[in-house]
Amino acid sequence: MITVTKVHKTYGKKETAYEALRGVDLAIKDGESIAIIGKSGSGKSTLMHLLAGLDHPTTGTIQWDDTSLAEMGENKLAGLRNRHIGFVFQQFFLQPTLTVLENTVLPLKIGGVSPSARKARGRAALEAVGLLDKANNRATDLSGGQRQRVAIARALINNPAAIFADEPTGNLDTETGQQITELLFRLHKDRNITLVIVTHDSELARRCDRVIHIQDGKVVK
Amino acid sequence: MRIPDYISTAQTNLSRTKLRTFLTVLAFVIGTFTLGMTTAFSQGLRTYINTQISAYGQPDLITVGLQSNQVQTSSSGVPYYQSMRHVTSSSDRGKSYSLNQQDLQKVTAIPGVVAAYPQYADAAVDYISYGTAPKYIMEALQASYPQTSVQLAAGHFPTAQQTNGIVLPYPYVEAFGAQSATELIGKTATIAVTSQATQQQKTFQVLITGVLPDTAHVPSPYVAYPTMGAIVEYEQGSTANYNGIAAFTSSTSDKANRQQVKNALQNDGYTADTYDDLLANYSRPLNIVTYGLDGFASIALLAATIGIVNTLLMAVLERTQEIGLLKALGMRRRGITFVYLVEAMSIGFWGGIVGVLIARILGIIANPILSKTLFKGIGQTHILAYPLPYMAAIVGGAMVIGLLAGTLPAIRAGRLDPIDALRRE
Repeated sequence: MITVTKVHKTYGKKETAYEALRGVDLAIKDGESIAIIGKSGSGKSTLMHLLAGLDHPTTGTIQWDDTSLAEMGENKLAGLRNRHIGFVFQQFFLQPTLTVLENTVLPLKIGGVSPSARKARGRAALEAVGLLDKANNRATDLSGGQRQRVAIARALINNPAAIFADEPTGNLDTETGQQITELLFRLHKDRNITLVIVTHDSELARRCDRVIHIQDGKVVK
Repeated sequence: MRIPDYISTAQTNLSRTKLRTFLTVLAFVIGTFTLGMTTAFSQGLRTYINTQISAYGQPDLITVGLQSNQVQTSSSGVPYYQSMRHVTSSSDRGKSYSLNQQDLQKVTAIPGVVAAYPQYADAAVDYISYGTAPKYIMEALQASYPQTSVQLAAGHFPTAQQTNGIVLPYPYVEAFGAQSATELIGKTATIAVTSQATQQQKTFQVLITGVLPDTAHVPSPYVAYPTMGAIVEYEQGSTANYNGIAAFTSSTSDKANRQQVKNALQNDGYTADTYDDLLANYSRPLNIVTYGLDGFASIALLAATIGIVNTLLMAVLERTQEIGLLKALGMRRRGITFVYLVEAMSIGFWGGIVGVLIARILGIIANPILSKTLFKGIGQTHILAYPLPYMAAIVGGAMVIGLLAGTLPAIRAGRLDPIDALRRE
């Protein structure tokens, strides 16, 4: 359960100050899928970053269950992201120098998991997204859809409580986008993972349990 | 991350921009190579000097003289007469005086001195002859004592019983037509000296007991001190005056023991030159040169350090997005900083290893050439020496310098805001 209470987020100072979020209240239940939609610059990405503990609100609180993210230090937040959150980005953010398997297990490597355990879990995650046969390829050898599937495998690797996806289909053609959508929702249902998607894609938004519209830093419906 | 992961990540990162890494490492190599060569040269030279000195001095020998203030001098600067004292040499630093039987007794009585012998003025030899070989000129003789034991190419120093023993300089082996040094041991040779008083020549039979090593500078031949005394007495008419006294400490004495004996001698009005003084005299200028050379090499390393800072700052800038991703995936600030520190240390490591290896290879090539030309006659000694601890210290030092250079870029990488980093596209 993620609870957002009266969250404001201001960037810059004084004259150049820009208020990205102006009082957001929101509750996301465990295992729920939720789409955050809005125009670019509406503050939807900012909201996602705050939810995932990548940034702190200027005022207001964000709680994961009973714990306020503001009370956690940088290191604890890093640990939270490392063990309980998966990220999927529009630009995939795969490391070109690493193989598909190495990209997949990056969060485990950061978390200090042993190489043998990494390999086993990495292969399982790649199998879940249907890319086990590409495990030893370079990430750069893959198509856009395949890259996003690797990114999803990377998001899955820690058995996360929640996956945050920022425009996951934004860089893909319609058909590939559809496949990625299917994959995300299958995993969400099968594994009861909370899914938070920031998107323009109305098709993708419609599949979610709930759609939040953000406009000028406020939730409008 | 685990330590091996940090190391492998750093290596992967370095291999991404191969040319840049190569150039940065190359700049470092210039410094570590220079440092390797100066170390090799000074270490080799030190070993070389020690072998050379071992042909002259021996650790338990202390050469004793008289302090010049022991002879009373008139206000005009001219010393008063004193029985059994002569001026043996005079320089701008003062006069040296002869020693006598009483001095010998006093020196022998000093605790720590196991034996003391008179040192005569060098005895000039007319010629030495051996078998059918031609007569040869020989350098002035020096005395050998039962305790004398510097390193020899063959044989040994005359024992107490071999009162007419001689130890020849190495070149006489070939001069006498012998195949090897050992061939001469136990053979008899004849030396001739002329009396300064009567101008008559006399010959002495000497027993060859040893041959000195083949060193760059040819040392004087040693003659057992009883024969030395006889030669000097014949040549100069008297042995009442000594140039100095050879005092021996126990053969197991260490530097501290020798210093104690030296202090005791000085308190009794004598000068004392120990083996340690001899070594120090040679190593002091060598140390100064070494520090100077190392200083220049360090300047090269310093310049390379700026290269590391530059390379890593660029890398941090290029990998902003990647750093953002690592942070999003839960890597702590400390972890990011550590990745870049390890990367900086790796540059130092590779720079150190490559520099030292090149220096070593150059040594393999240059050593045989040097020992045949510039440093002829050094035998088995290599003029370029590469002691492992020194070479390891150079690599270690390069890593520390790399680490220091990496501090600024690494801290900067750790401070990057993941949001800013990920937004950049």
